[in-house]
Amino acid sequence: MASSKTNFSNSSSSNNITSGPKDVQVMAAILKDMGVIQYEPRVINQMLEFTYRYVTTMLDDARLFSSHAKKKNIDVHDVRLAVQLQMDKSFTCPPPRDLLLEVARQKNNIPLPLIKSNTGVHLPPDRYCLTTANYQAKSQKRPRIQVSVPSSKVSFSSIQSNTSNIFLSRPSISRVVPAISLASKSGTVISVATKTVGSPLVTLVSRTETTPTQTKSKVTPTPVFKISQGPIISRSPLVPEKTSTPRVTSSSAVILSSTSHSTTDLPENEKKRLREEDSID
Amino acid sequence: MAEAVMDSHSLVNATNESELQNEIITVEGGNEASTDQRSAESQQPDVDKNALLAVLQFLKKYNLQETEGILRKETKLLDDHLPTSSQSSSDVTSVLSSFKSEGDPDIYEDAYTVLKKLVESSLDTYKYELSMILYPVFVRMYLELVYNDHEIQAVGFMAKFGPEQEEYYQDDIQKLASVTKKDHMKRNELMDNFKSEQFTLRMSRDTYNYLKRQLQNRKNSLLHNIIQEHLYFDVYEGMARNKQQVDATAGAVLGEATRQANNTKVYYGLLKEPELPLPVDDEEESGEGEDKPKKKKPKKDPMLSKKARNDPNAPPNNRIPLPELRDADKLDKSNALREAKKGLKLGTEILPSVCFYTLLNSHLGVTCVEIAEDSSLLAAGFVDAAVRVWSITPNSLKAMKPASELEQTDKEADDVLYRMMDESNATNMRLLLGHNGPVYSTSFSPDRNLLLSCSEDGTIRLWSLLTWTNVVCYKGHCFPVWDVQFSPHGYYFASCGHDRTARLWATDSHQPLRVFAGHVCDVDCVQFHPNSNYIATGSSDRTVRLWDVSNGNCVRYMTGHKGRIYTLVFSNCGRFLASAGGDKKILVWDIATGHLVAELNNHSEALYSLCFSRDGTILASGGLDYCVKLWDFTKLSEELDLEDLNISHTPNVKTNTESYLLGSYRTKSTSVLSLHFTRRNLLLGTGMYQG
Repeated sequence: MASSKTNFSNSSSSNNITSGPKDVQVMAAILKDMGVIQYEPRVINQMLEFTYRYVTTMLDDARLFSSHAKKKNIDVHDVRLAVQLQMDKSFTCPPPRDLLLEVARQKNNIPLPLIKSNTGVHLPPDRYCLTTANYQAKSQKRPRIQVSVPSSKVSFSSIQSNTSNIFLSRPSISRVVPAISLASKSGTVISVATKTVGSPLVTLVSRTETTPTQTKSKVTPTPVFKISQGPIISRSPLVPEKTSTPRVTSSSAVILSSTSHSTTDLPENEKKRLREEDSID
Repeated sequence: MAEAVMDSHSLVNATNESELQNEIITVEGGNEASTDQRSAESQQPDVDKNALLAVLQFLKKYNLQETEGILRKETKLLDDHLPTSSQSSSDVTSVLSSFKSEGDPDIYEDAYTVLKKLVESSLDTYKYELSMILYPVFVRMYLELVYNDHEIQAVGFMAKFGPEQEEYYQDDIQKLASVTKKDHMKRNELMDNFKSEQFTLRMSRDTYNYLKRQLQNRKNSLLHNIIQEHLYFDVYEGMARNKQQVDATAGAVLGEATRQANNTKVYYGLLKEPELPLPVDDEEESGEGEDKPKKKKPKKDPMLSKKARNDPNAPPNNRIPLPELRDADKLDKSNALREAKKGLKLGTEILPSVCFYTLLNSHLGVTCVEIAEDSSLLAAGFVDAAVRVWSITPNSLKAMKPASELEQTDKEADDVLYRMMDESNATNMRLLLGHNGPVYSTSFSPDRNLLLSCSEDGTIRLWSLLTWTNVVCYKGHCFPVWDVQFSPHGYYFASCGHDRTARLWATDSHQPLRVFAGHVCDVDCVQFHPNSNYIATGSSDRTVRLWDVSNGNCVRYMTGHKGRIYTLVFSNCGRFLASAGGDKKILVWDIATGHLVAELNNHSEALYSLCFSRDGTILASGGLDYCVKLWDFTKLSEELDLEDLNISHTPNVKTNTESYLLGSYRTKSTSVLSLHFTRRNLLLGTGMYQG
């Protein structure tokens, strides 16, 4: 944080206050009434923003209530209800004193528990601690690589819309390049980095794209390449390295900006492909 | 009651009013007959009266005035018994309805002026005690005006008499001034205080009788009403207090402490120290064999060893369950004693050196700083929810090895504690992330393996300083937690927050063990007594309370601060408590009686930190005025010992500040955030550079 001197403004000395819009003057007057004499200039902006947000939320809620009650106009009762609900939700007060005293009386009647000796660090039971892992690693089946290719770029005349397998004996890709970053025109398909040696067998499976997270409603059949070769394939999405010989012409289509939300598609897609692959093999 | 309303419904269905009147009169006729006999009336009062009231209310609602008048006449009901139409069944309004009065709003100003004149014209001996009455009466009158919808008069009343109240009430008055309508009253926290508790005033019997006589002479029913019913007078035998004494205890939101509040016996002595293993070095130094166990303790405090054995003021060791000392702890303690021996003996002539750590580029970022007991670690809490721990000794901070490596280490080796740490990633600073809001306080455990931090998100987090990870998250306060402190013996810790409670937890309890409720505003700071049996809390309601850990009761209630309390510290002997805060004064209290014994007044801005030296001779204080000041505490305690302190006699508060001030050290423009005396009596300070 910068160690610059904070700029406080007295309400009387600043020119902005007296010549600003009416809201600003009103807010400055309110602050003065509540005894706040010194404040940074941006405080007024923050207060005004809060006021605007609060009032619009209240009126929105009030309109909801009045339409629910089938009234033509917003009534003071609607506004009152809206304010009350909002107060209970966000502007809560600490419990009243008599409740606190009652709770305290009950808690304090229980004698202090004896200490279990010599158990090392005294910690609550495990489920109240943050010491255990809160995740579970999913076991992997077989390392597979799927490379999805924009359908418009690859011309397969025999692509059909539903699941049909097309096998190519001789893949057009003679050498799998280390990393391919691809994105389809719809922008929802992501890339996978591959590292293989030799010429793997490429099976092309086309499928309709049925990812539920897809924002566009266009359904395009996406051919899927599967490389069923032994060597360990490191799988890391979004390695944006363009190599010189990508057979799949996608250099123009490397759009990484849209891939931020599409990374979530990967597990979805992968899971589906995994399943389908099992059914094939 | 519902049936009565239904009946009146059917009554109204009768076509004309005269029929209605007849009907009602017949109902009343039956009732009237029974009123001849008192006993009968007392037997069936509730049902009929309620029915009558319901009928009256109904008639009023439908504006049937003639009927109403006749009914009233027949039953001789008074207006007061009528519930107002605005009363709902909620608890809040039923309690608030105590503010209801039928009085004419314009007479409030006159009544208050009368009271003022009364106070000013009274005899000098009574004047100062009487002047305490003006503030609560002012508040009460203002709230009555607001409740009865006399907004204009209320605003005028506030404008005329508000600024005349004492300085320390002005904050509260400003909050009150924002309450101008009855609806505001329901939700205001300050209202909670004023309606649930009565303002307490301590008066001598003479003053009290004088006041009563004067009120009777004036025959002012409004004043009489308010004063009799809504103020609590704690009358004591003795002379009326002078201005200085009255001023000393004034300032709290709800008045002063009653005598019963401070009657319980408090065990302020220190716990008996256990036998410690003799460290190797000391065998060479001390020659005598039998005296060795006794000599260890006197190094720290010559008086203590004798007192601990038969100190009537010390609590028994098993009053609250405390963790056993482990070997590592015993080693630590004997190290501490050894260091204390080598420490500088402070006194009036020998002042400590001050080593100051300045945090740069953190003017609005740092909220709290804490140094560990052995002065090896420094933890700071930040507004961006981070906690950073630095090592201020040449030893760097190491993490524990991962589990796989730990399995391979030899557990029986002598230096297992050294081997289990991983040297490879040793750094000087560690960052702990986990909170969701600004971290307001941190506290090291006495064995420096654990760190607690509390934050605005309402949680308290326990961090392990071996693995540098968050181990437990304690959720109990639902509102910002302002302070957290480990107990000097470890295992227990206390927290306090915006919900006006302080809570006691143990590291292995997921819920609080004790809830200390009683403050009327949020509790700003909490501190353990050296014997871990008591907890002191300071609050925004300008009072300091002392709580008993074993049963959660408030044993001492001390008023006198004129501003919020930001820091509390117990003296090493356990008898005195020093507190300081927004009113720029340090107040020293005697725990045994709960009385204020000294007021040290030299700072020009709010105080944020206090610290006693290890031998209890010097009290250091620092705050926003960029100064560290040293006070002579031995002199103060000697003078207090000479006096004969007992509970009933209020001692004269020592305010001759200049005689106690030993030194005042200014920094360039660094406000002092925390002070810490090392084991060798070097004073470490930390602060933020203001730039």
